[in-house]
Amino acid sequence: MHFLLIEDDQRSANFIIRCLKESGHVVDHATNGERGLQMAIGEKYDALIVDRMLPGIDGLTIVRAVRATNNSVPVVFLTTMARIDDRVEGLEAGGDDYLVKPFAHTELLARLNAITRRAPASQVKTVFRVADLKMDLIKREVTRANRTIELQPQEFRLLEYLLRNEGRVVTKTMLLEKVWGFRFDPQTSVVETHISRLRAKVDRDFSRELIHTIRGAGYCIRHVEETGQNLEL
Amino acid sequence: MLKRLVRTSSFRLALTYAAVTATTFLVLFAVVYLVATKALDRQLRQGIEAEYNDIVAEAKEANRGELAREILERTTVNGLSFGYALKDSAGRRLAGSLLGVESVAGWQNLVLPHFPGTQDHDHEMLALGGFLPDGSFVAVGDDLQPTLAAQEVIVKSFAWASVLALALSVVPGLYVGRRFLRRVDIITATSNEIMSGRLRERIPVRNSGDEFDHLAENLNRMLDRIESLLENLNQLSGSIAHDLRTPLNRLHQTLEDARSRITEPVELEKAIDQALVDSESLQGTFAALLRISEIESKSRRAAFMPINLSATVANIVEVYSPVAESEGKMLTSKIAGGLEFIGDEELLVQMLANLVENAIKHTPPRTNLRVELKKENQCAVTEISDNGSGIPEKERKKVFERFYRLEQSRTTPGNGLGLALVAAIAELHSISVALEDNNPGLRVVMSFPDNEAHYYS
Repeated sequence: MHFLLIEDDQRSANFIIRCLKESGHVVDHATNGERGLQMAIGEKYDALIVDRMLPGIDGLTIVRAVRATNNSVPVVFLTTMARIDDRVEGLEAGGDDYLVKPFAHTELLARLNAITRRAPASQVKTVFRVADLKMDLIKREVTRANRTIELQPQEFRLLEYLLRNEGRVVTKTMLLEKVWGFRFDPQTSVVETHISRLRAKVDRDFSRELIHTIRGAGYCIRHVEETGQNLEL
Repeated sequence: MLKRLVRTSSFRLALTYAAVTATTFLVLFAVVYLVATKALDRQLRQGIEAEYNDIVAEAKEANRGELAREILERTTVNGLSFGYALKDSAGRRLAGSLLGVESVAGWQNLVLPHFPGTQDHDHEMLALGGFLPDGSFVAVGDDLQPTLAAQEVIVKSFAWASVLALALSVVPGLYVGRRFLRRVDIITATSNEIMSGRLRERIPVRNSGDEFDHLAENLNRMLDRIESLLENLNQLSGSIAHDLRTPLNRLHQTLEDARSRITEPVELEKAIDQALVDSESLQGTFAALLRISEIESKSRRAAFMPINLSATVANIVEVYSPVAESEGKMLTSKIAGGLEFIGDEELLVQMLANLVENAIKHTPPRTNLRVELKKENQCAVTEISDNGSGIPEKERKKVFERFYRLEQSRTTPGNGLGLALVAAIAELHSISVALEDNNPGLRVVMSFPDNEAHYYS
């Protein structure tokens, strides 16, 4: 995929560029707001990665300007400010997601994957299938190998989120935010506990595991045909 | 002192009063003077007129010789102060002591150098004169002196009264002003003491219940608050320095060790992982500190919205029941439905989660945890309780301070900011949080204010 990174801090930019290139993406880099805005409007990108604090035009203004041209390119804000108001402002200006520095490269990749995935067709998708697992959102029913699996509401939401991101890694932070509405780091193993409960219902009685733990990154639901296959980050 | 005194508001007030008093006196004086003068003048003229008419009536029946005798007689009668004049048609004086009178009909003023029968000089007289049918001239005059004397008395008494009244209004003004200044001086002196570093100084209160006492009490309360805030700040900076230095030192140690000693790639990886964990914990501490100060700035109040408190609490229970279970504990709940609250959902979720996590983390295995939401006097009350080891009573207040950790929990992971965050979120929402004894264990009681009416109005 083709990304535009607007970031003035060289060390931070190098880190991001390296980790995106390692994952096979192409990255353009602008070191100030004006150049970044020109590039964002002049070319078609799969996503913009915009630092909030920039010399010249700041990140919020860039994204507002881009949105004003009816450009709906996905945007991830980067910031050193962990304030709640800042996040709200970022999302109101038209950002799709928000990352507080410092972050792990897996977090950035997972979030970019999540926001670039949203194809218009998938928004009306009401049935998800992975291997023999099937989730029907309208009937609120989950089956595996035609056996009904009873899920608690939160387990249902968790599985739904994993399925919407099928084949992609979702991080713990993403799960906390999207499934439980937690915007803080719990001091207990909330995510691990719920994943293991979900696994007990979805995977335990079946020969093939569908929910995978990606060490140091997060979780992923996918159908693995052969063992040892690399996961796309 | 005098210069300041003159500038005090009470002195200025006294001065204003004095001016008002002076004006009142002046108006009063003018009215009394005019009315009295007029009355005296009328009385004098009436007397003269009566005497004149008497003489004229007398003259109709008597010849001039008899009239002259009559006048002479009247002049010598004691107790009558009238003066007379009788002149023939040629203007020669026939009788009477009014020497300077002019032969003109009507009223006239004249000055007598010496009034017969008195020791006085320069008597001013008022006289009424007229011609008799035979052309002779007759006049009756009376002394103006009593009128003038009365006028003088009025002027003098008013002048004295004015001076006295002015003095009476200025002197108390000065006195009150001095007292006022003295008390202001005490406050100034106290504030100087405080500014020079003696933070424990307080303004003396006289217990008289006056405005100065109220002011002093308010200022003292403000000083108490500032002092405790300063103390907190001092403690906080100390704690931050200490609590951040320890992990920083650890981080430094790990990295130095890795640099100088470790050669095995696996060991190196381990060291780097450890360093990452340490730096993450530092980041977490900073994030929590920033969040607390953001919450304390109260800017989040603008984002308050109606939330379904029952659902929020139920959600927390649903999230943490499995977590408690995996730790060998049991989380039960009793949640009243349909309770609403105006607030910041994200923060309330964090507050409840922090408290439940504390209960899970800091209790021994097989502890029972309970979350309750109920309605008491139209207000929501949430209780989170456990039957663990509890918190000693004297520590209960301190646990809400930043970086404060109980002795027994120093070894469990955590940054000592969880309850400080709870306190900040509760304060933002005006929720009162009480730590109570659950016999055994701890019960956290959160009383939510009834803030819906306020929001919807």
